[in-house]
Amino acid sequence: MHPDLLALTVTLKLATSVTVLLVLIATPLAWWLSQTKSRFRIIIEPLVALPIVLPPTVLGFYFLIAFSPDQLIGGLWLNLIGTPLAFTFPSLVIASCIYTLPFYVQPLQLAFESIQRGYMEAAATLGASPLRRFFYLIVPLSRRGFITACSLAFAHTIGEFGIILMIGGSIPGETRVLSIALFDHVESLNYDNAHVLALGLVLFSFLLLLGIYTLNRTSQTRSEAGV
Amino acid sequence: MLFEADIDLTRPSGFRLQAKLEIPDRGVTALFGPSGSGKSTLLRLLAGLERGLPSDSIRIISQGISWQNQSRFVPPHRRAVGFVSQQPQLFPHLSVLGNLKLAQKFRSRSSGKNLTEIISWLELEPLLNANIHHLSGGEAQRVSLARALIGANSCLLLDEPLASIDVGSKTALLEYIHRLSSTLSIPIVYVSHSLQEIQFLADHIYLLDKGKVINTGSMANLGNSLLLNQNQGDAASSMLNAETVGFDEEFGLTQLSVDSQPVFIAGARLTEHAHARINVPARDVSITLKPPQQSSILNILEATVIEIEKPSKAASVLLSLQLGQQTLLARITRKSLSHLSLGIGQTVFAQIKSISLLNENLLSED
Repeated sequence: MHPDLLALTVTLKLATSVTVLLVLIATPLAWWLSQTKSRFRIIIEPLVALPIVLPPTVLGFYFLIAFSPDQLIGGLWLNLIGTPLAFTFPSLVIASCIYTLPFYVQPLQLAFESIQRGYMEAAATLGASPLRRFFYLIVPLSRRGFITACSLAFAHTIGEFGIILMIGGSIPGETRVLSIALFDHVESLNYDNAHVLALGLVLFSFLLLLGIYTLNRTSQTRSEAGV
Repeated sequence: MLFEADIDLTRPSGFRLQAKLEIPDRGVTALFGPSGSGKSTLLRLLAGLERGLPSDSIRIISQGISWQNQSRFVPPHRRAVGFVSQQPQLFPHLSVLGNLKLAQKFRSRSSGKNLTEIISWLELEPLLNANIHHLSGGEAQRVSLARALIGANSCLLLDEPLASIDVGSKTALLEYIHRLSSTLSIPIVYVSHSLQEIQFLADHIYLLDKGKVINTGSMANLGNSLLLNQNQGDAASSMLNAETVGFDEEFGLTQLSVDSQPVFIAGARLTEHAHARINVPARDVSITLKPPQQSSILNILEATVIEIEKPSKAASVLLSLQLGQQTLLARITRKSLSHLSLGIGQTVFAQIKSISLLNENLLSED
């Protein structure tokens, strides 16, 4: 396989894994943040938002340390799986999940917060358990939030560079993603290939954002028209 | 008794709600009082939508089963209540039928009522496929009522269901609720601050003020009482039970009998010997000491003064008059009260200027 195609596969695999994991893990977190009156919220919310403001290299540096076999996470991984965690695909997934967390949690939390409390109360008195309320009402009513959150998580993972450079290196088929491949092409003055990747990423990101905005607009006009 | 509730709850704001309720297992029980009296909070406690703080003492028993006490709290989705609030709260992503079907799904394990039956009770057939955003306020509330009925196996709780709809739809919805109350085998608890709604619907009343129950009783005993009607201004009125006697073709009047005294109302040909409920606004009742000989007022009833509202600075006072088994309220000026030197036990003649028939459409022959 062409090395750039291989990088594309790794990238798509990474973005998909991160998005799926965030749906499973971060959806409850977004729900909790949207509902809780706990005083821990004041700590958890800025913690979730932290990756937005931190330079990726700071996170990358801490991940690099944490993933080494003599540290807690790296050590646990080594014991459970039998191979070191650092410089592997799973380490990219873990780091990307944390780095992308705010891009998933924030739009979803906003969508959850905008659901009228009255609907939930009505559903409760109609006999819906909290779980049924979630799947029959909260999910369909926050459809736009889910679409935005997933698209942003996916796109943001594809756009990652700094963290992956710090913790993943550039192992073909394992940790060499598109942004790293582009960096390698530029370093080796291979501008033709760099152009292909760069333009490809620009186009992909534009189309994805175009898709989100169009979807949001149509579901907005649909809900205004009451469909 | 269906419900027994004993509540002592204090809000962080300092508002304290202390109430004991015993709600019979049939008919409409009204929680009536001004806004801020705690009636909605009581209803939300019954539904399980609020549970108070650990420091509060809340005990709710439904048909012998504890719904809430110090150590137990049955969540709202296990109470099988029907709950309708001021806003219809129809799920915006579903059609009318979608809303009803989802409610049915939520109650899948219960015996549940027949959806078709509920739809026909509330005459929803033409609306089933409608987009809920295109319903009028009254229609939306009717759908909300139907949705609540689907799973309502223990009781129907209505929290000012008419508060945010237009006047025309109010009367129609009141009729639906009134009909339901005789069809359903579950009790209805109805919260409102509108005297007319309560007088029209209720069988039992809890009168609340500032978080306390200040009186309770059957509608027959309490409905026309001074206590219920004071501070109601022009809304103060009496509900009287009457029997239809006949129709006077020549003058186009229907004759009724109220505790064997004749009463005439204009128009409406009614079934004979049927039970009618009439409403008499207190401001349209005036008092004379002798039977007036030449008056344009047709309806003059002999009655006895049984209670006089404590005169305040207001220009008028309410009088409670005994009329056989029933009571009639009259609003007269303080000046007239003093001029006629009215006292308890005195026989007077009540001249009634206007009467409205409440269950007219149930009685019309055509």
